[in-house]
This record gives sequence, C-alpha cells and structure tokens, in this order.
Amino acid sequence: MQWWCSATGQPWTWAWQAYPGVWLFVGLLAYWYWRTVVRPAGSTRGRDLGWFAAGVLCIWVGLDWPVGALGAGYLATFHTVTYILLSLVAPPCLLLGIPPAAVRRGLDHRLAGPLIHGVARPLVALTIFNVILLLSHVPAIVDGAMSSQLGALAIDLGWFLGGVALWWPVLAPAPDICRMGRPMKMAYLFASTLVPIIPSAFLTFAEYPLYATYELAPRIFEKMTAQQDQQVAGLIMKLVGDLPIWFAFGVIFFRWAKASEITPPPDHPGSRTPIPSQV
Amino acid sequence: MRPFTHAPRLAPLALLLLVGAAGCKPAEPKAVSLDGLTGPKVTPPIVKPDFLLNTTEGKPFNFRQETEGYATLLFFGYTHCPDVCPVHLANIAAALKTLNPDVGEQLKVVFVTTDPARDTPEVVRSWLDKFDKRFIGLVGTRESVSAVLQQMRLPPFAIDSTPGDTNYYVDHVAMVLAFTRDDLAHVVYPFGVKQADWANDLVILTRGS
Repeated sequence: MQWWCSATGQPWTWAWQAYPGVWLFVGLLAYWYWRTVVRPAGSTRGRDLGWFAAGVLCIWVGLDWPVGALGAGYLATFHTVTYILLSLVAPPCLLLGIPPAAVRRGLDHRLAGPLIHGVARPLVALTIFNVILLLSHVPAIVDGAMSSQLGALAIDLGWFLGGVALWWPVLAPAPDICRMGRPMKMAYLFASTLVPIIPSAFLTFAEYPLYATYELAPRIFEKMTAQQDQQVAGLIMKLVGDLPIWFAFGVIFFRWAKASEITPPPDHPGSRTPIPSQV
Repeated sequence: MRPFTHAPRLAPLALLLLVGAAGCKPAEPKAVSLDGLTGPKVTPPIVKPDFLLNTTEGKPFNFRQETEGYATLLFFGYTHCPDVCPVHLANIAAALKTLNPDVGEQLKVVFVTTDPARDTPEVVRSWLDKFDKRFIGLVGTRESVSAVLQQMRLPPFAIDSTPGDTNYYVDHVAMVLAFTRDDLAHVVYPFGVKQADWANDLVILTRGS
C-alpha cells in the first residue's frame, strides 16, 4: 500500500486504493482548525466553517484517489487539476474560513508572528508562489520527484504553501496585517497571472512531451496521446487556473466600485466615515 | 491480476545475450554513421535475422529481403500489453509524425506478436493502425516466433496463463532493435525512450537508406 500518491509505472486500475497519508494530512488540517479556531472561540460562524470545510474538501479531492493518483503518475492533465485545487482553490477557501481573532492570536507566536507579517508583503508572497510554480514544473524535478512518495509529497506541499502565500496578502483574515488597498490588490492579482504563462505555454506548445513520467506511463485513454494530454494540461493551467484569481479580482473590483459610490467626495463633511470592509 | 513487471527486467539479460549473438557472425564493414544516437550501442552489432512470417494481410514476409536497404525497427510484443508495447509504438509513431516524410519512407517498423492465441491478424492490424497504418504486423505460431527470437539469441517469451484463461500477460523482451541499411543493429532501445530521442535517432538511422 502507498501512503501518498506517486508514479508507480504500474498499469492504471479503476479499483479504489487507500492513501492514508492524504487522510492524515486532511485530518491534521481539520484538527488544527478545531484547536486554533473552534475551541478557543467556543463557537464558530457557519459561514467560516463552510469555507474552511470547502478548502479541506478541495485538498482531499486533489490529493486522494482518483484525481491525486492519476495526476501523480498517469496524466499531466490531472497533475494540473491537483495543482489548481491545491494552489488556487483550496487556499482562498481556507483563509476565508479563518476568523481574524485566530490570526491575531498567531501574531504573538514566536515563529508564526514574523511569518504572518512577512508573507503579507505582496512581493515576498508573489516570489514564493512563482518560484515554487516554476521549480515544480521543471521536467527533471517533476520526473525525479513524482517517482517517490516523498518527492510527490514535497511537490504537493509546495503547491499548497505557495498557494497560501499567494492568497495571503489578498485574503489575510485580519485586514490590518496587509494594508494593500483594493486597486493594489487587483494589480497584485493581475501580476500573479503572468508567470504561470511560462509553464503553461511550454506545456501547450512543446513539440514533444516534456515529462517522462507521463510520456512513458501506461495509457489510460487510448485516444489521448501523451502530447495531447500535455496540451490539455497547459490549457487548463492557464484558462481554468486563472478563474479563481479573476473571480477574486471581480469581487474586489465591484466592492471597490460600490464603496466609491457610497463614499462622499473628500470635501464633504462626511468624508471621515470609514470604509466598512477592505476585502 | 498480476502486474506486468517482467519485460523491463529482461532487458539487461537480453542485452548480454545480444552481444553474444552478435559474435556469431562477423559484421560487414559498410559505412554507417551513428554519431549522435541516444540509444545504447551494441558492440559488436547484431546481424539482421532471416525469417519468414505472415503479415496481417496473410502474405508471407521475408524479413531480411523485405527490409533490405531500409532502416528497420523490430519489436516483439502483444496487443493486450498494458504498458511497454503501446508506449513504445505510440512514441515511435508520434516522433515520425513530427519528422520529414522522407524519414518515414526510409523506415520500416515491424511488430511481431508474441501472443499468437489472442493476436489474430485482424486484431494486430487494428491495433497497429491506432498508431500508424504503415507499421507492419507479423504473426506466426508460437514455435515460429520463438525460433526467430532464438536465432537472435534473445530470451524466449513466456505466456503466463492457465487453460481457458483469456486475461493473461506475456513476458517478452521489451527492447526495440534498430537495424540500419548495413543490415546490422548497432543500437537497441529499451523501454523508456522518449519521443524527442526517437525523433533524433530516426533521422540518423534512416540517413543514407
């Protein structure tokens, strides 16, 4: 039995397989939420709980059988689906489910405090996300890592942590941690869509398959060649992967527009009225 | 179902046997440039075997005569193979599609089935057509195919089945033998060759064919 999804070289089977390491990871996330958020507060808003549960669900789907197993050793398309779930969908859901009080408690922590502030710097966050993204798509690194469970775990954890870093300046639960205004947040989100063009373009337009892991894997769908699989992966990475970012961009833009409408001009006596929300 | 793992393990053994087999007959000194090939070289090279099997159209195919003057890839496998065979053929076919059509015209890809019971000529033809309609499929009895392998001192194939069982694996050599126009195989390709490497090597192998 494998504890984490990795490439095995064995023919694919649709028979369910257990990956205990994935369950442990998901369980630890849920336990952390209970211990850090639910227990100290006594109760939790249903909305927070719903967001966090959605994030945990995305991680579970992305890592466990069949999506995780297919992505680890058979199809680059599913590898990209896992990337999108871990980096671009799960982190914003998790962050939206953490109330500000829980983060403020973390600020006093010797290690977590500086980390919370450090990653809140947009340039730092963007650099972390992009470096992880680029490194985790280098063929030699992918082929080397995906053949072992530890290597596959490192890639998956990298994607998840890179995703948390990416979304932190935009969705940090306590707005005072990151003081970016809405226009800056939109610019930041736009900037985050630029570097992924590089791996996406390589995947889509490469003359030959880039990753031996997927090129030499037993085929699952006869009509889908390794090259087509890679092209679909490249397209999904850009077209689907950008959706959560543009969705967040849209939400921020409309809130900004709405806030601009209700905020009186600066020379009006009521201009000192604070803006109700910064997200 | 037992996972298919034997064919790749036979590769090193087969390589040793190939070296031994090549020593049986001296290589003819025709000039073939092999610079730039990525495939592992066999020294001394393997002499092209002389055998007669039937094509998927039912016509007799004299391997040595029919492939004379062409670069030829010879591969033994079976259509129910879950991993090695379809990947090998898919990668060769994909690489050919990216190359100048001249390369395809100077190359013959010959597939010999090691599963005569299930691989009827129609089954082999239909399977090969999924990769490339130009691929030549050869069928024969278990004994005749075994004799071809024996001629090249390659490990015999082994069918792992019980009577009445139709869902079985066949252990077979996983490498592709590449014969150049001098009727020698200077290189063999174990499982794991990427399309980019095939594209590079096919150009070199067909040079001067």
